[in-house]
Amino acid sequence: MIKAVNLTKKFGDFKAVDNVNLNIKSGEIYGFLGPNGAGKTTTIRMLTGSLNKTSGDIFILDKDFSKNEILLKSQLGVVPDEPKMYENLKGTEYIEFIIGIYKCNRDETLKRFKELCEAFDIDYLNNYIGDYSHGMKQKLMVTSVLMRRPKVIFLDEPTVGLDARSAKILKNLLEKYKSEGSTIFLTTHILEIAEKMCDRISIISNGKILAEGNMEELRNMANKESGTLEDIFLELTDSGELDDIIEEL
Amino acid sequence: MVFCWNNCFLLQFEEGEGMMNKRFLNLISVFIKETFRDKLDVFFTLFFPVFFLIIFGTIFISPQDSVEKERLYVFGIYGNYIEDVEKYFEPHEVIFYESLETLKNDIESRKLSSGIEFIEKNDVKVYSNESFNEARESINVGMVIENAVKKYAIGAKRDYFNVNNQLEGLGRVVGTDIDYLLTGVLSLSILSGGMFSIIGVFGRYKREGIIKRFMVTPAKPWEFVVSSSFTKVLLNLVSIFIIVLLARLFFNANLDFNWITFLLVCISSTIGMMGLGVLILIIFKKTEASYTASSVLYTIMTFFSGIYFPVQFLPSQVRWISHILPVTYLTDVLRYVSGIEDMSFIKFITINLVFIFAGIILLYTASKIYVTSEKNITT
Repeated sequence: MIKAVNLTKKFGDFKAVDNVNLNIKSGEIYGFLGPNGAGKTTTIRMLTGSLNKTSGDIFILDKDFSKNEILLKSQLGVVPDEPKMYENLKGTEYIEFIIGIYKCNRDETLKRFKELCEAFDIDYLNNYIGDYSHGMKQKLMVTSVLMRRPKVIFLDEPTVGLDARSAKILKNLLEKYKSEGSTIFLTTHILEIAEKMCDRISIISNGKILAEGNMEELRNMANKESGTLEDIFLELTDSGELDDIIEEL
Repeated sequence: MVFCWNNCFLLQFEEGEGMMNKRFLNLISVFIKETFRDKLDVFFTLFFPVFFLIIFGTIFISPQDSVEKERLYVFGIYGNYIEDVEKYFEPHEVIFYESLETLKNDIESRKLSSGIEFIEKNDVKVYSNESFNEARESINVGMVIENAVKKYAIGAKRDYFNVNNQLEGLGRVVGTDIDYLLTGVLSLSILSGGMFSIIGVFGRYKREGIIKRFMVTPAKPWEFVVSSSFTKVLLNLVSIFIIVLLARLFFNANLDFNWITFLLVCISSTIGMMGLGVLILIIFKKTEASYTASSVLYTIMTFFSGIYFPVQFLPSQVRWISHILPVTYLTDVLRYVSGIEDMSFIKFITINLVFIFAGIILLYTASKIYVTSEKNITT
């Protein structure tokens, strides 16, 4: 469903993403974790066509992304790391814009959107987006993606700014979509979410994937018979500096 | 749920019908709302030129002035090719002379503003009193003569038209001061509405992350550029309509617009000026730097393009600058379609085509370079 082969992105001499290989199956929630600046957002941006890759290949829904970009983009849902939208539009107008630009069936999509609004407690759509808080924008962004029911969903830190109730609803919805065959690619800094939700997780650092697999496989890679994802994550991405820092404090 | 969908300005189509148009119109709909709700954009495009018109119109012109100036000059005419020539000087007074000597004597005694000898229908000599050296008056008289003689001769031998050297440097042709001012304000309105707005729209959308967000949608970069440009053209047309309306209501402007060609000029020149904005944006890359550069260019164009005063007021050493500024040509075509200046149809078409094609090429380049370049930026 999502496949990346030797995906690389260079900014000058700096390799932000270095020969990343991914193979994510249909109906899978895939967690993409890493410290700040590891290359998560850069990878998502390349996979969704908003950033040019330096080298490598991307296949989505078994199609070469570079040859079918417009077609594939219409089947992707992307929740970016920041909910940037047209500030001078009202929420209702933004939704109409999304329906138009993705050529969705208006009645069906609006029906789904209204259900999502009830779930996420969105009742501010007649106000201008510029007046929304970060959380309100994030809820609108998430619902505007989910209402289209895309086959492949990319979410970059989707729970940032969401209240606990909304975050819980989002997690439940993603589980539901997964069971219905959608593929979900998720980055998050909240490791508990990734641990509970994701079928497989990869950990990226300095542009390279350090480990990939389900929780059991990750534990084996980190040589930990038990422990949480946080323990594994720190074991793989930290070179013992954390203990020294804590001790100093 | 308390939100209302009926408030939305929707463009609905049957599914499967005109799908490309649906997306495109959807984008235009969004850009129209965006643009007309952006207070800064609306101010600079709609109200700033109006502000200029009111300031300059109030300070420099009163409605009475316009009327009085139309009756100000008396011209003496001598020659063999003068049939029906007086109608081209209206509303100024024309006196015909049997002898050149008498005409010259009347100029000496200041009974006439100027004298014109028609050697051929398309070749004239102009005589003025040497003491008649008040610059503004001299230029106004020269403008009236040049305009009238051009119009008179243009039906006969346009290609060989020649005004005697005595008129060189006396300036372009205008109607009344308000007509002259109005076409200048329209030029500046089109310039600022095209150049500044396109820099603003790309800059703001880039800063707000809209372009980056746009890149993940199935819409194409050209759709983004064309729909945003279309909106700017629309906003500029509204601005032009307001300026013309105000000028007619409050300043007795009486331009004889050919509305179809006027509309063509407004659209083509707005596209051309947007292209200029894009060119600046491509050269300077950053929005703030582009704004500064375009402000400098705007000032240069205001002074060197014959907008508020004729190019002939400038020292001869710097007049060449006006010939490389697009606003000079924009002002020329506006004065042509408003009936206060003559121009060959080929020149008119050429200027408009250059505006349109240069604008389209630059806007297309912008979609390739500027919008797509977002795909190479990390943050």
